[in-house]
Amino acid sequence: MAFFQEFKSFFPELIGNYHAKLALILNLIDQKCGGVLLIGKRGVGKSLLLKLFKKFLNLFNLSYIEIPLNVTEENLIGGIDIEKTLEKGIKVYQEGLLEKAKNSYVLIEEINLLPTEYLSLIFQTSYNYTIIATMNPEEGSISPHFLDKMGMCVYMERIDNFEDYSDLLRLWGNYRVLDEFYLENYEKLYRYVSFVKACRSNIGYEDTIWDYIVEVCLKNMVSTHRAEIFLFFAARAFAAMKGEGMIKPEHVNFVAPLVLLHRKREIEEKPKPQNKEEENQQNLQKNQNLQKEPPKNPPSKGKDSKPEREKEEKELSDLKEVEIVFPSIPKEEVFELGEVFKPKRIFLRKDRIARTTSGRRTKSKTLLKGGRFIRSVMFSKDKDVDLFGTIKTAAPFQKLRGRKDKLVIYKEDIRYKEKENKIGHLVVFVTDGSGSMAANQRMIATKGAIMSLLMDCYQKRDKVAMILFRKFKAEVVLPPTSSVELAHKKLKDLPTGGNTPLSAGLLEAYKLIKKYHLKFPKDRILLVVITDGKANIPIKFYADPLKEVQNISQEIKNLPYIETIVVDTEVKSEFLRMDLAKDLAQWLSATYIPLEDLKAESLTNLIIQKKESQF
Amino acid sequence: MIFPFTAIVDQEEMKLGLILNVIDPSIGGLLIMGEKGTAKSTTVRALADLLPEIEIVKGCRFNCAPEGPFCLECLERLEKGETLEVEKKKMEVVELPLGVTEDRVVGTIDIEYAITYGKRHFEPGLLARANRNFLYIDEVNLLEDHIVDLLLDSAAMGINRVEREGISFYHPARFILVGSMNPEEGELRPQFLDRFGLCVEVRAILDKNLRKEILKRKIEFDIEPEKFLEKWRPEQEKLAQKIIEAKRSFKEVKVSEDVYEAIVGLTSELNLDGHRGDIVLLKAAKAYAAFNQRKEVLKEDIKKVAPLALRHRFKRLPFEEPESEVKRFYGILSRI
Repeated sequence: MAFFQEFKSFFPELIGNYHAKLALILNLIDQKCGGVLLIGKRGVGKSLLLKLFKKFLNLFNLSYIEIPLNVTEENLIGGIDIEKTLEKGIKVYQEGLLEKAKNSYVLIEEINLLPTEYLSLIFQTSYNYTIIATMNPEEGSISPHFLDKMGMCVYMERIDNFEDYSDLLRLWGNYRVLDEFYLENYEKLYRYVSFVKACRSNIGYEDTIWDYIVEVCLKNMVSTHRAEIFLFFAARAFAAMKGEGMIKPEHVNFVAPLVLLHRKREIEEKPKPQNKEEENQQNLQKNQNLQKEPPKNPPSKGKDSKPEREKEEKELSDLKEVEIVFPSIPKEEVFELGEVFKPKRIFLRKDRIARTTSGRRTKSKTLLKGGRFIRSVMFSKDKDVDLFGTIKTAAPFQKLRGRKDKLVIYKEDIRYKEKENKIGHLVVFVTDGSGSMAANQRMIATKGAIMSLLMDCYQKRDKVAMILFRKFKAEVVLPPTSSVELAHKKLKDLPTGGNTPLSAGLLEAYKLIKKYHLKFPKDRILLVVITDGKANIPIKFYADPLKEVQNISQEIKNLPYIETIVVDTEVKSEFLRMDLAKDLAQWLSATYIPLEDLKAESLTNLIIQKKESQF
Repeated sequence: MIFPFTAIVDQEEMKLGLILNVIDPSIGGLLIMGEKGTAKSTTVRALADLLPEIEIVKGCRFNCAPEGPFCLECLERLEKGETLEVEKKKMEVVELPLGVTEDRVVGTIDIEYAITYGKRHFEPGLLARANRNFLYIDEVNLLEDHIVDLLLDSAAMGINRVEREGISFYHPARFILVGSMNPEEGELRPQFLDRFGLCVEVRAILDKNLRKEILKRKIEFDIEPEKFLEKWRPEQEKLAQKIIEAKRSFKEVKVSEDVYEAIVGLTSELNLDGHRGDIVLLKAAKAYAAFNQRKEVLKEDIKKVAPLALRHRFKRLPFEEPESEVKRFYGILSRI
C-alpha cells in the first residue's frame, strides 16, 4: 500500500477511497481510460468526490459539463427552442450539452436515475468525452449495456480507518490553514497529472503484454472486447504514474479490478453453457473461484470490493445449496413445464401519475419526449411545444392583432403537448414450491400457468421477479429483470418439495416490493401469489402460520401501489378441498382465480388464433 | 477517424451480411444479435467509411439520386425546367437513438418558415438524412412501438410520406436498416423481425490469439491512427473495388432452375410463413455470387447465405429452445 501514501494529499477533503481517486487520476492522465462510475450507498462520499473532481477541473480551467437529472432531450442534443422562437419570431437555437462536451469531461450524478432514452443519447460514441458518474445501487441499476461502455467502476464504502481521520481532524481546527492546505494539494495534483500526462505516450510495451491482458480478461470471465482496450490504457497511464518506461504485468494487475469489476458481475448470471466455448468459460470460473483471488492484485480489490463480492458469492452458494446439498430427500423433484396457454388479460386501473418508464400493459401519461400525442394543453411541466395547437389558437386573433406579414403570437397562445405511453410493470411471482404442490403433479400445471403469465409479461414488456417458498424459507429466485427469457430458465429449474412457509414467501415479496418501489416510485406492481394456501411453517418458532400470513397480508394490502392476484392451485375436484387460498385472497383483497380458470376465459381467443394461423 | 473495415478481426458473418446489403440494398437490412462489446457499431461505421462517395442532386436535403426517385422539392425544380446538378457525398451512418420522437424521425413543419412567412414548409427528419445511407438502431428491441411502426412503413415503401400538422410531403427513404440487439434484454416483435432481410449472431471471440490481435490493432489505431490507416489502405481499396464491381454486376447474375428448386425446397421444408424468406435468400445468393465475381448462383452460395436469410424466420414460440429447429435447418442445408 506504500504507493497510496501520496494519495492522502490528492482530493484531500475526502479521506481514504484511494481506488476511486486512482481511477479519477488515471482518467485525468488519459481520457482514453473511458470514464469512471462511482458506486456506493448514500453517505460514502461519491458526490463529494465528484464535487472535488469538479473543483479540480474548475481550478485549472479544464472544460467539463454537468448533466442534471431533470435534463431534457433538447438540452442534451440541442435543437430549436420553440418557445423562444415563437416569442421572438426568429429561430433560437439551443446548443446541445453533448455537443459542448466534446473532448472534455461529463459529470453525472445518480446516472442510474436517468431514463434509458437519455442514457442511449449520452452513450452514443460520436463525441469523445469522458463520463464521470455516480450511482447508488439501492435506487436502481443501470443496464449492463451502458455499464460496459464505462471504462472503470469503483465501489466506495464507509471508512473506519481512524488513523486517516486523525490527520484531518488535526487540521479541522483551523479553517484558514485548511483552505491553504487544500489549495496547495490541488496544485500539487495538477502538476503531477500534467507531468505524467506528458510522459504517457513514451511508455513502451512488449508484445507479451497483449497476451497478458487477454489472459487477465478471459480469466476474469469478461467477454466484451472493450475491457481489454480500456485495460491497456489504464495500465499505460498507471505505468506512467509509477514513472516506468514499460507497461508491466503488475501494472495491468493493479488497475484490472477497476476495469473488470463491473463487467464480470453479469456473467455470473449467465445461463447454462450452450456450447463448448462457454463450458470452458465456466470451468475457468470454477478454477478462479477456487483460487479466490489472483495472487498479484489484492491491494486494490481488497478494500473496496471484497465484502460486496463475498456477499454475492455467498448468495450464489446459498442458491446452489438448495439445489445440490439435499438431493437425497426423496420428495424433491423438478417438474416439467405444463401446458402453456394464453392467460386472461390483466389490466390495471389507469391513473393520473405521469411516468418515465415504457411498457405495454397500462396506458399512462408520460414525461418523456416519446409517446403518442394525445392533446394540446395550456400548461405542461416539460416544455414540449405543440406548434400546430399554438398556431391554431393564435389564428383567430390575427386580424385583431394587426398582422401584416409575420404571424402574431402572444405568450398565452402557446400550447404544449400531452402525450401518452403505455407503462411497464413489475410482476412479482410468489410461488409455492412445497410438497403439496408435488401431489397429483400439480406443479406441472402450475409451471405451465406461470409460463403462460410470463408469456403475457413478455408480450407486454413487463419486468418480472420470482420468489419461491418451500421447506423452511423463502428466497428470491429471480430479482426484478426485464429478461423474461431468464425468468423462463429459472422457472424450468424450480424445485418442489417440503413444507409451506407461505408467510415467509409473502414477507419476502413485501420486502422486495418495498425496495423496488423506492427505486421506481412510479412503476406499478402486480403481485401474483400462486399457492394452495396451506401454510404450515411460521417464520417465528411456534407462531401460528395462518395468523402470520394474515398479518403480513394486511401489510401488503396497505401498500397503495400494488394489485394482487391469488392463483389457487388446489385441485378442486378433490374430496377434501379447503379453499384456503380464497381466504388468503380476501386478506390481501386480491383477485382470486383458481388455476383452471386462468385459461378458461381465453379459450375463445385461442381458437381465433388457431384459425388465423391456418391461413 | 474511423477504424478500417478490413482490420476488424473475424466476425465474418456480420461483415458478409453488411456487404451483401450494400451490393443489393433491396435485401432489406441486417439485424445483428449479440452481446455488447463485439464491434457491432464499429463495423457498420467502418463499412460506410470504406464505400465510395455517392452522387446526389446538388442542394437536395433528402439525398435524392440524380436518376431519381425524387423528393417533392426536386420534382418541383424539374417541373420548373431546372437542370439538377450533381454533387458527391460520403455515405453516413445515421443513428436512431432510443428516445427519439416522431417529429425527429419523419420530419416536421419548419417553424421559422411558418413564423416568418406564415406558410407551411417541411423540415426533414432522420429518415431524410438516412436516404441512401445506413440507418443504425442500437438496441432495436427497446425501441418504442409507434416509432417501429413508422420505420416499418418507410422501410417497406422506400418512401417517407408525412401527413401531419397540416403538411403533406413525401420523399424517398431508401436506407440500409441495421439494427442491433441483445436478445436477453427482450425480443423483437415478429413483424419487425421479419422485415430485416438478414440476421446474424455475433459472439465475443474467446480465442486467445484472436483477442490479442483485436486488442493490438485497436490500440495501434488509437495511438497512431494515420499510420494505421495507411497500413490498411491497400486492403481497403481492394475490398471497396470488389464491392463496386459486385454492385455493378449483381443484376446480371443468372439463376438456374436447380437453384430455384433448392431455395423453395429449403423454405417449404422449414415451413416458413410468407415468401419474404425465399426472396431474400435468392437476392442474397445473387449478391454473394457477384461478390465472388461469378455470373451464376451456385448451390454453395445458397448454403453460405441461407443461415443469414432464414435464421430469424424459424417458427417458434418465444421461449422454445431454437436448438432443435436450428439442427434440422442445418440438416436440410447439408443435403442441398
